[in-house]
Amino acid sequence: MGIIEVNSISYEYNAAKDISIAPALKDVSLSIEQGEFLCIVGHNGSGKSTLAKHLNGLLQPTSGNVLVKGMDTKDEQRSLEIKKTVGICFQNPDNQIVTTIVEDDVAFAPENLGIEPKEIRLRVNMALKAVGMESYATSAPHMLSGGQKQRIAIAGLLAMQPEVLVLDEATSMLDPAGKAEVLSIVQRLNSEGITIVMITQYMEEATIADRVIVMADGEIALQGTPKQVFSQAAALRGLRLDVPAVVDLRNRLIAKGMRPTHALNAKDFANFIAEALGVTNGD
Amino acid sequence: MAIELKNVCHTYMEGTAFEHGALENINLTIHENEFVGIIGHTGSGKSTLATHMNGIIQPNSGKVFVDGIDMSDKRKRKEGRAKVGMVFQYPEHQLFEETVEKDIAFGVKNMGLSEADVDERVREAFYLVGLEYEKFAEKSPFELSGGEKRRAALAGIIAMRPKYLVLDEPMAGLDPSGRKEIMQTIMKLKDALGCAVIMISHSMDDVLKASSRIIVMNKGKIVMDDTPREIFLHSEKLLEINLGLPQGLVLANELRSRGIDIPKDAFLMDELFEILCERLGLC
Repeated sequence: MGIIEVNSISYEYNAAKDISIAPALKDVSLSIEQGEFLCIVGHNGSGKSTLAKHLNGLLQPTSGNVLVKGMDTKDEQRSLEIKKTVGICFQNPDNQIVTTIVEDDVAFAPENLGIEPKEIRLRVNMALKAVGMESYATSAPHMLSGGQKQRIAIAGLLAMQPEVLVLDEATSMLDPAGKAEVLSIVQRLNSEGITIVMITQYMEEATIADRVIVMADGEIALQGTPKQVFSQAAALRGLRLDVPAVVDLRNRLIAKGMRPTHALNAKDFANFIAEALGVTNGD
Repeated sequence: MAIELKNVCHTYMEGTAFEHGALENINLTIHENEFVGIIGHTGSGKSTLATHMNGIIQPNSGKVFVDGIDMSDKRKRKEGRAKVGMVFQYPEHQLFEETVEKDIAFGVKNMGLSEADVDERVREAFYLVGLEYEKFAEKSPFELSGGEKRRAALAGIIAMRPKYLVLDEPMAGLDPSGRKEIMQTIMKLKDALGCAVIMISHSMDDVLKASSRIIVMNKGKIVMDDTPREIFLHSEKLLEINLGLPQGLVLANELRSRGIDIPKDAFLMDELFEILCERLGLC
């Protein structure tokens, strides 16, 4: 059994009386394995964020259920434990920072969980270290860059010592350097055993996952390893998505008669080309 | 006719302990009909620069002129402002009216035009952003998809027929198809209205595709101002100030580092396609 089990859930937002809105999720089932790096992609309005908010009970399914380590998210008695297990980081870092000093902000969740001050101190130090922000412990969050603020938001989640970290387009408001900072931290946390569920609109980011799920109109339309999913360029485009630019170039060359390759990023593709051309110098 | 910034300096929270410079001695002329991309990492002063262009914020020293109108002149500022349309980040957050038509008409109604003129401009704006009038006019803006909302917000500015269109991160948060559609819409608008476009973006690929000129900001200063080709031929400078590179350039650099001979000025995916086709003997 996975650390999170999503069992045929559907969800309908409470629509205003005269507006009929299609259900945001339709009979979605999903098992997230412990230690997995899962990426969810999908067009705007496909239900990605609605699904994410179900993973720690921020939303309750209209039908079906979600089990976090066997605990039903509808069980109010387990609500706190579920939220300790699964932390969610949202798109805009400015909406997630509540205090005026970085270390207070990181301490906010553990304080509310009633953890001993000594232990909080340890956790705050550890969390700030994990995101490379320990030298900013006494800074004011509003003076930091977007990438730094998002790292503080992640540190605030890590201080709860969650087992699953859900990132809902957490890099979309960041510049390229900020995106790279956050992605490398997420990859490291995953290598240390934290389960990652990352939602993104950037196909390049999805190539680093173990598994990619493609949502469309509230349903899972495609899933598989990045290699499997990104080999279906036409299907992805039909779902308002795309393949990474390198994969597009690769596919155009394969259509011209190049030997097939599954390379998904510039490094792997350059290695493949070097080999095909018999070039041996360089790395 | 042009937007001219002369020795513009801007300091936030001047005279307080939090004082920090956002723009330092900016001299810049943006001509009619240009497509100018502005890049720079978070906090480099891009958005501060953009908001000076229609007098939303005033420089602490220096002057801004729009077609010769001094934007520090309170009586004339309104006339200058009408020439410069500003589309902020996530403009759909500013939608507020009951129907899409009313929302798009809001700005143009305040320009003192006859009802027939307003109606004509609103219908034209619907057409230009690719929203079908009959289908969308009576809908609530909140029923639209992410990409449609953004186009509706853009239409509200277009209806005012600006000579200069300033866009702050127009593609952020959209799915890949939505990004392509907005980009195509912007290119179409530029041709149809004959306006200049000033586009701030974190996406080097989008800026490279669309711009005739790129301005690179760093720490409140303009550090590069040139054609896209010249800017990206000096990519080491961009890396020095922590900016990302377009994906084609990343791949070209990877190929070169493996000893594959790629001409120095080739970095578009299409150029790499031609070169690799030839090297691999596919054409």
